Amino acid sequence: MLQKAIDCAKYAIAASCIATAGLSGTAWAEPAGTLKWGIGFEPQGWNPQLPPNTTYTQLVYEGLLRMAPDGTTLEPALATEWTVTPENITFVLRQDVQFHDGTPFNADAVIANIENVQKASNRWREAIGGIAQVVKVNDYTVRFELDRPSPSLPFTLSQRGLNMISPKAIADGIWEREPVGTGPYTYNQADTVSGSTYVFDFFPDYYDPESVGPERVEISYLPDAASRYNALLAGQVDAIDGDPTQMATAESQGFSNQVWRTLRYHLLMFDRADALGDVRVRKALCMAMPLEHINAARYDGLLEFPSQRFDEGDPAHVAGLEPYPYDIEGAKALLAEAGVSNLSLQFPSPDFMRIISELTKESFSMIGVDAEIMMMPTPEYFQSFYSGRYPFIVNTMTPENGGMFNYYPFRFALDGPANTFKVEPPARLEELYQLALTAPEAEQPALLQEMTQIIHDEALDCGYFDTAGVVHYNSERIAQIATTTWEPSALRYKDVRMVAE
Amino acid sequence: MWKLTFARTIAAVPVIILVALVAFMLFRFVPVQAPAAILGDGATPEAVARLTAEMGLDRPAPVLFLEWVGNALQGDFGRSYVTNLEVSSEIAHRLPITLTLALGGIVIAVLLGVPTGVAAALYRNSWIDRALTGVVSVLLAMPGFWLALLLVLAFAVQLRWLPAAGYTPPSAGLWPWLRGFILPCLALGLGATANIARHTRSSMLQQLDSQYARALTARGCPRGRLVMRYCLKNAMMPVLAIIGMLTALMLSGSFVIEKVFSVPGLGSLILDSINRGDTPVLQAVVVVVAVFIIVVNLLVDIGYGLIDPKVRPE
Repeated sequence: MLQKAIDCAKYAIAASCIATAGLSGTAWAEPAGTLKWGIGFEPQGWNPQLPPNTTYTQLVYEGLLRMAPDGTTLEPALATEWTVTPENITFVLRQDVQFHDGTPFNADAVIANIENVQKASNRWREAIGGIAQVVKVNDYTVRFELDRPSPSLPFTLSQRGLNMISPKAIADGIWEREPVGTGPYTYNQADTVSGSTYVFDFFPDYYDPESVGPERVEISYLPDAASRYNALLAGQVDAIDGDPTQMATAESQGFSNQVWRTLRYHLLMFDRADALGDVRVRKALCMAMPLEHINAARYDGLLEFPSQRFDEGDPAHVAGLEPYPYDIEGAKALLAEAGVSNLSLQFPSPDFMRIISELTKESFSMIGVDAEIMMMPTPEYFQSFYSGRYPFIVNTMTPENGGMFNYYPFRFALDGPANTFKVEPPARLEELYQLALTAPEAEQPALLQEMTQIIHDEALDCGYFDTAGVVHYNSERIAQIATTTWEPSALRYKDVRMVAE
Repeated sequence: MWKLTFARTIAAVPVIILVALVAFMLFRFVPVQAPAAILGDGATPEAVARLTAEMGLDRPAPVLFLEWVGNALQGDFGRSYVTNLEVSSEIAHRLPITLTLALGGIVIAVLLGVPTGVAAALYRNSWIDRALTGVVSVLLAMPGFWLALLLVLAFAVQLRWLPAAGYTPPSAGLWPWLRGFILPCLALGLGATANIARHTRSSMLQQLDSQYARALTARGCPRGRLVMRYCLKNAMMPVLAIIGMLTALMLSGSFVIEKVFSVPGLGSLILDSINRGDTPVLQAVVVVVAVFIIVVNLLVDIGYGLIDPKVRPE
């Protein structure tokens, strides 16, 4: 009887709480709380086109479009609508936006930004190479006139290199030193301690304040992983960029973990003309990729192994495609069939890839391929991608993201930046790409899927594994953490929700 | 005395020029040049060549060196290739942090090391001597970064008395600023404490066994006066040289400690600049650190001259 009375009281309290919440449900909760985030990267200037600084630039800048949390769906950001044709792309812009310096965001601002990228010396200039000119239709509508079909352009416009910067900051020449965007946070230079803590405050004139969680974001640059974890333990930060192998420890110490896919690594075979010219040799290497060993040694079993470059839902995805199995004996047989013995290959590795490189070397040696690791500093390593010195690398190439219209021209087309050995792609592959460029949208999937099938059958690319990003966070301080697939080391800051104090 | 100061200062000039030249040449031959580092993982050879030309880095090395030296003499080390900030302002921000760390470390080392060494010498072969020598040996054998981690676990993670990492500027208040330095300075200073204690002990023992000490004792000089007024003063000569050497070492040691505690000093700046291939910052920091070490050595030489007239030139 007593228990029944207690239960009744509980339900009554719960019901009244729900009713209260319902009444106040329409009220907007102002951005509140301070998110303290520890990360191993320091901002390298404020030019969003240059080294991948999204950890910081994502707070301040926005693009015409943005990527949804799934990492593949485009969402409206500064543009509310867009229409794509083979000849042009038209964007309708938001009308209630201003930059942090008070400059209004409009068609002129878009034109100034595109011209700024067209003058740059980096890959973003090539990425928007299809834009012949930007036409101002009216103050809030712009049309990008294309001199070639550019179906990947909307994706590119959602990326950091095409973030919108205040035209005034561009004209004054300060944009690389002082970040002036339209994003939900402004850079608080006064409270920032260079090299240590970077502070960002909510931008009161942000056009969508209801969507913003924390009122202030403090990012501590903690380059050493152990220091980072100690700072979390000591309560100095609320969340850190963590490590898959530390998840169990973090959990046992009362922290929560957020895991998401950050990069799609694979066996990037460059020398498809000579050392890896025979399809059987390429298949042998694919079958010797020690994916499970890498998973166990470095990622605590968190890796996923897709069979192809793009996931289900992408028009180029081929349903039912099986990845190459890990089969040492089969790989040996293929090499023997190809008449290849004593194959020696060199491949570069920085220290952060040492375990993956060592496992790859060991596995390749089991099929009789002598793979020599060339250890080098990280900047040299990234430069070596395009040097044409190495027949293969195990890593990722983010310019390929966004679909076959980025992937094929970047990796396989004769003039592709990542086709470092200038290998002629299979004729049918090039033909399909050209057809897909101009085909109506409904006809594109069949063409793109055939391309994926050829890439798989010819073993032009393989050994895919999706690396896992981990955030260890204090759930007594953070109610909701938010990340974006294929976006490592950055949170969706405005989507984070702090626990009310 | 002026002669000594002048001679040592003049001797330092070619060393500084040599360091500048070596720093400049070294960074010309590193595998990753600045344009590639700036452009990052999407850098095609064409884009690298274009940016190299835009930055004027395709000019002959002697021209670039003379231009750099000319600007550096006016305090202009150029701008960081990566952050686009003025290198001199970045160094001005970071140098005081590293100096505070090094100075704090040396103060801790002297304050703990000298009394420890003196006590061990005075109670030679007693349990006090053995206990202090044992502690000193452990501290000497312990790597600085490990000691740092132990300190963090104890005082930051368990007790939560002090921050585990990061840096608070003096503008936030004297205590918050000092709090942030306690653990890094301890981690840096305890190793040096052991060194100073060891040298103080052996030097004090030498003085206590000397003929003048015995003569003074025989004449009834009180023990305290003998130790403090005569022996300690004489024993400090070699210890002073060690302190000078340790100050320079402290600077390089602070680089490791800065990393462990994520303190934004010159050490972390140099490590980050190496990783980014940020040549202007690297060149400037190498020269600044070299000048600092040269100045410390110069001061030690002059200090030696002040204490011991025998080392002054004729």
